[in-house]
Amino acid sequence: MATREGDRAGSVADRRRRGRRRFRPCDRPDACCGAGVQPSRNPHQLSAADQAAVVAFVASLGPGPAIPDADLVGAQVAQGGLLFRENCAACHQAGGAGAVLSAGRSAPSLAQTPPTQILEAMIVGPGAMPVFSGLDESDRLDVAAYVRSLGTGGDPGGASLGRVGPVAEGLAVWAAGLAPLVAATWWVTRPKRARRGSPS
Amino acid sequence: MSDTRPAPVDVIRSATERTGTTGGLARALDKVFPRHASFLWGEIALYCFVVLLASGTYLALFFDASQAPTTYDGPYGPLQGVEVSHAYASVMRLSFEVRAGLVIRQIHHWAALLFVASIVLHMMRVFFTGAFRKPREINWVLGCTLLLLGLAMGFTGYSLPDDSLSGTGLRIADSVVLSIPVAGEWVSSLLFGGSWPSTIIVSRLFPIHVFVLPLALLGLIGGHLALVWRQKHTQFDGPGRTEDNVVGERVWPGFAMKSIGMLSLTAGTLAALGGFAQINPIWLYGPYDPAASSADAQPDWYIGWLEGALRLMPPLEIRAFGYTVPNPFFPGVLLPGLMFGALYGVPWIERRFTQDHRVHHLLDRPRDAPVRTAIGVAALSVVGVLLLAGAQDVIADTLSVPLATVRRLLQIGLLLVPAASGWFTFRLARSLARRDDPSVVEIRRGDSGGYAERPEASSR
Amino acid sequence: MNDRRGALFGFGLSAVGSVGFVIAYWTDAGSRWLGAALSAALLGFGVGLISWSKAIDDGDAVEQRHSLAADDAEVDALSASLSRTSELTDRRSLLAAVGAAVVALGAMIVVPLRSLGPRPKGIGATPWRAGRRLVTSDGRPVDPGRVGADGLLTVYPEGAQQDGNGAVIVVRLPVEQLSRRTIDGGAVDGIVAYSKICTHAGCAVGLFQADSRRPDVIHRLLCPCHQSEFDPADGARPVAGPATRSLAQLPLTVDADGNLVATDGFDRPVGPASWTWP
Repeated sequence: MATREGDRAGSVADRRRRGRRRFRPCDRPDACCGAGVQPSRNPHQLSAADQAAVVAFVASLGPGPAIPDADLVGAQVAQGGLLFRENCAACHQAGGAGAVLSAGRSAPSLAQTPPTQILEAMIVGPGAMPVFSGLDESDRLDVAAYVRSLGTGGDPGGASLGRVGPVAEGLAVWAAGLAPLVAATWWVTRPKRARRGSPS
Repeated sequence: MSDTRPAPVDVIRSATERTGTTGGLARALDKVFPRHASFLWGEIALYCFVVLLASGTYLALFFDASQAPTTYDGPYGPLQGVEVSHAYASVMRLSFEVRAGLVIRQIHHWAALLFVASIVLHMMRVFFTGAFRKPREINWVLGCTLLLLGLAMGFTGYSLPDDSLSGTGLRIADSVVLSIPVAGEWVSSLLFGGSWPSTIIVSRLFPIHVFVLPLALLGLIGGHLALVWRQKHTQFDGPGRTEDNVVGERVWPGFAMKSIGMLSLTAGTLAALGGFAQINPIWLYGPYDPAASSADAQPDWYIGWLEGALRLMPPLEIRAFGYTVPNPFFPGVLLPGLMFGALYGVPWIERRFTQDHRVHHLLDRPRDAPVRTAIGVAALSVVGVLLLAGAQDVIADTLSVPLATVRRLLQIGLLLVPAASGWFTFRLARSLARRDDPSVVEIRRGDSGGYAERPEASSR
Repeated sequence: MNDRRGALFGFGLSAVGSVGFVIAYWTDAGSRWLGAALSAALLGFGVGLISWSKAIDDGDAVEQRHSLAADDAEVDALSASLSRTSELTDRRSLLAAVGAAVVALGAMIVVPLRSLGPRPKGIGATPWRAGRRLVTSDGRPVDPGRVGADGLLTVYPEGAQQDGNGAVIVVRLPVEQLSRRTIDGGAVDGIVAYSKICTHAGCAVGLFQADSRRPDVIHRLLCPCHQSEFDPADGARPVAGPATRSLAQLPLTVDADGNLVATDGFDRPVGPASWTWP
């Protein structure tokens, strides 16, 4: 088993905070879901205190990165945006909506992800996510600040349509644009009743 | 008509002394348009174009087509200090600083999507009712060209803001151009100026988008409408309606009011979309960077079928005699070429098989021409599967199905769905037509051994 | 609601919407209010006009169609006019001359299009040369320690960071999982570098799926545009999707300062293929 740096406290905390992960056993790993299983966000099974206790115990077993300090004061959001688009958007999508990967896995939406988890994920690379050890601490804080800005910035143009881009826009234009107008053409051309007998 | 008062004669005199148009104008006002909901779908497209011209003119007043770099210093925090092009910065300024700029920009983009959607719906109506038959072949060709120009209009507009989606789309377009045998490298070099990322493409697309294509569209729309006017509108069969008349509403005032009403409804629907539904949030996509592509990188829906074709294409290319025909050529050039070729040829292809050289002003119902209807549905299902393929990543993510599974299903679907839908449509249309046809009777052998006619046909 | 009342309602709504739009504009109320007011103004006007039109509708009118075809006399007249064309077509030599002139005119008009672009050359060329260092977008060189196990980094050729073809992804995989040709292609301690420009349609292949932990071992590069997949452990050969060619591998070594550096350029052009490619 290839040991990755950071496969210790940070990653344990990372898993705990996401709630218990269910690893669905795959009978035919080559066929049904490739080589992998997709972890999902589930309800927490442990209290915050219990989580902290487990993290402390695992951390005591050996060296590993500490839980990062998500102090985003002074982080450069715009710099984080550049790094996000260069490194993260290919999987998590430019708006942080998440997207599909190969082998039956997907990159989760970042809308609900707190900064600490963003930082941990960049350090340990949970699941199929690569490790971003090439980014230093201030880079990672910038990225976390940018991700937070995606969640707090709102959508100035109106409903976000899931931020999945032109696919949702295309569906919307047929369903909310053309369909009502086509319905209107029926109303416009509906023949009048009881007109024939009116005096002229 | 109850009390209609005569219009002021001296005004008419004064106008016609200068223009000489009395007779023509009177005939125009008395012209009759048949009533049917589907006859207004082309008008939706026309009025989208009106909205596009109006909103686009406003946008053009603020747009800067330069790709020279500048530093963004507007009010959108997450991009402050980022190096962007002047084009991108001007669209950001339009979206965040020009009052009402964002809503008009969004109306423009929604109108572009609706423009093509309503053209497609209108063409479906024309196809499935056989309205392209003699004497309307020329207008079918004009309509196909309008569709092509609509796609070009949409793609050039999509490419102007110089955001990440724009640049990614242009990069893909460039690789499709590069894939053209013999001429591809030259055409690419002439279009994009030789190097990637192109620093001149936005300034080239701008005059094409705001001058060349709109002018062509205006001219062809004029011709399209003039032919409709001259040939008079088709109508469905019905009481009192024949090949030799038009039954419906006079242009003035009833039809004109309804038509202007449709303009208002179209523009109002687009305004609601522009105000309440965000479209193309370029601040999320960021400026174009050739080293960064986002997931869910999609074109607007009307190019989605081409994107889908690129995605479903098996990994094949031709290498021979030291030359290459790259993979994107087949789905990106050959396939749309064949599809549009077939679309343009519809009136002549059908005539080749039906040998029908008569003039038609009465429309078919889809069931009246089961083969045509089946072919149309099959062709549409090809486009439909390709459109789904253009969204295969979103579909896989939304349904939590592996990407490879979605791709394989769509590849199989591309082969099976047209045949299945065509066959099913043919059976359905034929059975509907038989049910309606009073001359079709079912003859059964009765219990006593004799034959008897059943009043209602129930054959399948 | 009868049509008369519908018309009254529509025009009333329209007026309210128009006033609302002006107020929304004046108070800078944002795009939602502007859109709401504008759509009320326009939808109301449309409903008003159409309802009014329905209110005064007194049933169908009938108009006769006339054949578009000309009668024989008209056809003959046009035919006679056109027959004068033969005065031109009878002069074969002049006809050939005018044809040649027209072709020449057309060719002349097309020629200035040549100014649009340079002769195509160096499609797929990159600034990568032997000895050029790998730098991140902030210009810092990369020491191998920055690329952890299952790590991903986007780098650029030093001094030519803006080049559209130069972007490279650096990933680190377990050495024992690398194929022979990948190691021979210039890997350093499990670190391999590939062109980030997709060989299919030129998008940036930024999606690296990495998990070296059994039983879910997976290493995949995936292009977000058309979902081509490449195997980074085996020379980034295409394994799924439409791509037909591997991503070009950049041979690496470590220089005296301990930073990653290219030992050579790419052995082939990067990005989407074209006619003259082998």
